[in-house]
Amino acid sequence: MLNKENTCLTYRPAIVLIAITIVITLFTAPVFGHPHVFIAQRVDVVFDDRGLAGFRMHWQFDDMFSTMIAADHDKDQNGQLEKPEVASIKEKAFSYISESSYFTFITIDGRAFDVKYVTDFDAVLKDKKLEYIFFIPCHVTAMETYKKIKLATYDPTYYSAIFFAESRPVSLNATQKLEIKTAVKEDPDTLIYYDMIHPWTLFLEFREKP
Amino acid sequence: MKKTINLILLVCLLCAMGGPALSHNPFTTSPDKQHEAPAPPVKSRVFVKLILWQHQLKLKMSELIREIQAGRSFKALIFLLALAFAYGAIHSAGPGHGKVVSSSYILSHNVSIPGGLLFAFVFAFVHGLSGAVAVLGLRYVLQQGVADTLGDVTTVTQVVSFGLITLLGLIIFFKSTRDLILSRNARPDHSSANEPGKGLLAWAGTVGLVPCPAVVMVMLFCISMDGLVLGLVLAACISLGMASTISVVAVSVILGKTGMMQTVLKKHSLTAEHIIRILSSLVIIAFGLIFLTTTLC
Repeated sequence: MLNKENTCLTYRPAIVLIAITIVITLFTAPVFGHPHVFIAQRVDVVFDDRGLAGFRMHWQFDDMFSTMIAADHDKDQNGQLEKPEVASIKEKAFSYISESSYFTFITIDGRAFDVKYVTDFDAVLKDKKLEYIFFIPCHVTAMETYKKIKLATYDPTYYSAIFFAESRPVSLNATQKLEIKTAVKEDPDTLIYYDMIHPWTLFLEFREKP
Repeated sequence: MKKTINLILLVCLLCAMGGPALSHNPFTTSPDKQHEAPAPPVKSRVFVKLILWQHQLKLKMSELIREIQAGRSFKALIFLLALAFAYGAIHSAGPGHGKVVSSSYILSHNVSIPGGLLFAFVFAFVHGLSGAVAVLGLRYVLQQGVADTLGDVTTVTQVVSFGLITLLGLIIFFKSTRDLILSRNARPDHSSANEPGKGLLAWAGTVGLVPCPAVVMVMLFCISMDGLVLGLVLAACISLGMASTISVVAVSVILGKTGMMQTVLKKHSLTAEHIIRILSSLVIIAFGLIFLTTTLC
């Protein structure tokens, strides 16, 4: 039978290890398993004569993902992506996310707008960093009252993390006829990844100038 | 009190470590092969900060790789090796990396602390080596696109790994049940498990078979910078980091199990050990079957 002193000695490391294990597993586990891909995003908000025409997205990938895609698709390894290579990337490293609304979740005056297709896809390598550029058509006619649009981008599987770029995250191609307000901030009404994270969201409001 | 502490330890180890990181890259994998993100055991806003730190760590590593390949800076190399070690340690704390199966195996066998450490190192290096071999094999031998093919390679290795895990779990279950029924007064047969050269290493190899995505990414990046040797060295450092984290888990399980066995009255300890073995084997079988089914479906 163990005496009290021996039991304490046996248990002291076990208690310390409980703490270490809990810290390691509970506080780091979900985070460091995911994400694996990091994307810095810039959004051009495009307007036409009637109001909003859509969003041109610029996704710049981290070095390691860029390298992986370039290694597979930049066939001549010249550091530039020619048309057939872009087509290959679109087919094998982009189109699959169409089933997840291209990771772009839009609401117009609180109602969801399903992103079913994108146009003008392009992929470029700038200093070995891969960038996807594509346009999301989203027509909203300007009225006298503000139309309120929210655009959040996130990967529901959380394999990728999408951030707004620090510099110039949003640019506007606006006409003089419109009054426009924008803000980029976390959306307090939306929670992703098991209700832990508020996605960074573009809040856009516009109306016809009175 | 002691029993409660042990129970907390065991429950934490078995439940909180999550399943394998089954998810495939959503950009390069068809939707039918994708899986949901692993569920977190607890919810916390702290994660947002930690994600940013991980991003910065990865950025720093790629900067240093570029610097070393350009200027051969020795100081940068040392810093990079340390970062790779840290990256491996942090990465393996995430879902997957065989922690559930490893813990269950250790619980179901009489593994010593050196045996646990050996297990951790063999597992980590097989996991890392598998990633390196996948990259080298696909790039230089098969001359296939890594991003396109890696998903298939991962699926095949997962099927083999989870199939073997299920099979080994069944073997442990039947042996333990037989021991419990036929020889209640005899100690369970640990002969094979205690020999690191046999069951333990085979188990570590089986669990570690699936290529490590962190090693794959780093290797590819280094190769693109004409740094194959650097990539292999970093793969070794990442594996070493993974081994350190898994060692903590393995030693925790061993100490937790030892402590619990000491708190149970000696006359009940044999039965308790049989029951732990059976329960652990059931966890292994459930784990293997669930993830085998998920991979195949």
